[in-house]
Amino acid sequence: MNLNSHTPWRLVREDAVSAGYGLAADEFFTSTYAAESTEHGATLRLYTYRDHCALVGRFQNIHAELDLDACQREEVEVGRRLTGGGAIIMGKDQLGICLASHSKRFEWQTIRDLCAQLSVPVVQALAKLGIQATFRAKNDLEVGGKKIAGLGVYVDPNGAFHFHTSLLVDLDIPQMLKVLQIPIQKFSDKQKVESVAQRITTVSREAGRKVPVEEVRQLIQEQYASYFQINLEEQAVTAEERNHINRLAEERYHQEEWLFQRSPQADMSGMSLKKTPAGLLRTYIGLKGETIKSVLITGDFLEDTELFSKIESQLKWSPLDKAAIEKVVFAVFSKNEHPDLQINPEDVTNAIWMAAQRAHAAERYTYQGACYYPEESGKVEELKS
Amino acid sequence: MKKIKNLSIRTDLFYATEEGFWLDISGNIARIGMSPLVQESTGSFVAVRFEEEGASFAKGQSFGSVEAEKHVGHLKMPVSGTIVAVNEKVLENPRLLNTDPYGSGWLAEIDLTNWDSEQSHLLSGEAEVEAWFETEIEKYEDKGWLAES
Repeated sequence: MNLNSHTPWRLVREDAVSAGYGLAADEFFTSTYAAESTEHGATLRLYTYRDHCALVGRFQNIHAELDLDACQREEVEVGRRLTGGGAIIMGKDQLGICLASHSKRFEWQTIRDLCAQLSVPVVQALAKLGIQATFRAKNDLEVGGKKIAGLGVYVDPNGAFHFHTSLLVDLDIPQMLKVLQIPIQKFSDKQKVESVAQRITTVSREAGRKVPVEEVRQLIQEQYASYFQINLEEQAVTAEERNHINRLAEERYHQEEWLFQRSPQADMSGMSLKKTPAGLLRTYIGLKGETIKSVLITGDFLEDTELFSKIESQLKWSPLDKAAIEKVVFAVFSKNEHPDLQINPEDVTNAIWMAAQRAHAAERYTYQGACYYPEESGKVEELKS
Repeated sequence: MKKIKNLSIRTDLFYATEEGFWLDISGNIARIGMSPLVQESTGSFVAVRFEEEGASFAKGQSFGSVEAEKHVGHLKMPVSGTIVAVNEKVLENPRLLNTDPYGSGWLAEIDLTNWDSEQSHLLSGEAEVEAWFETEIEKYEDKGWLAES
């Protein structure tokens, strides 16, 4: 850290903001640090969106990530973030944590390093609730292999940045499933909910009680103050600032050319079925060009999915490369106990690779929609023992 | 190409160490690409976008942006000039920035407008480039900023 602890930070608390306003405010507060000389060392904005907003990552194809008809039907606002990563749903039960400052005010060399450093107070706040969260590769916080928060960073050309965390205090999984395009469209509703619940967790679920967002917000602000040894001065958004933010929302975040911008990389999806000694292994994959967006490994016989969750999370946003997939799968198998699992890492590697091959072979995503994890394309392949 | 610790470095090029690019100068055109040190410590690139081709930028201005590991940052001009060509291949396959940073992962070509006064800010010369990378790579390794092979 390279902070002068005599310089206080600003604290902004907001609730039920719209998608456009919420995203524009993150950008606005970042821009206030472009000149490096502001009254505060940083601005910590702890806020919630109105129920519900679906936000895609900076370079995602919105048509591939969201069911826009469902969004309209469910009155879910949509938006495009400045930060990268995948689509998320935000609302009154998800806490947005936006730390805006200038990169020279922190001692860091790599973004991974900065993310790990800035997420420490979030981990500490969760620990106060008895939740042992850890920072994992690809910038997520996890608890027992399940994602509890997504992290992202945007750095502007002047070196001002914001670090954003979307913390799941609670989550309405069925509502999320209505609007996000996830690679299990052919599952029953119950299976979909179970599948998500095996991979994602929330503060309330881990704490074993309904934890109010306000309680989490209070802990987060206390932990940031103590970890960075700074005073937080709460200062509401002024009328002038609100005008700036609303103008930015209008000029960028509400614009169709921002929301619906096209990606030169094709979005593709595929699925494979493999018979293994343990049962039928179903593997779904989502690709963006030569990058893996998501992997989902399922099977009715799988009781403990932590092993597979780890493989899935480590492959997310990694290059589509068989050797690299194999390396991840073998490493996860070697580091985790799986005494009764009658599946070997070769089976899993081959299943993922086969799903990827099918994704490439299948018709690519079109705006008319098509081919999301088509079951019919996944012929069962017998594994030779 | 010189092997410096675990990285392969071309010592015959110019380097803009602050912006993180190599520059290959041919006449008044600079072909630029990502420094191996930057791409090794940033992670896998998943998206690249350029500002409009044909536009002119001053040194330090953004001519595009990239995403890696949910981080979005800007590509800042290492020298002033006009973008006369961009590599379409990296738009479709940003991973080329990682796998072939000096070759098919090049980023853009710039028609230089202020080379005489800006070249002195760049790192160049075989001995200087080698010494700089040795020091920096060692620092990155000590801090654990480079991905394990």
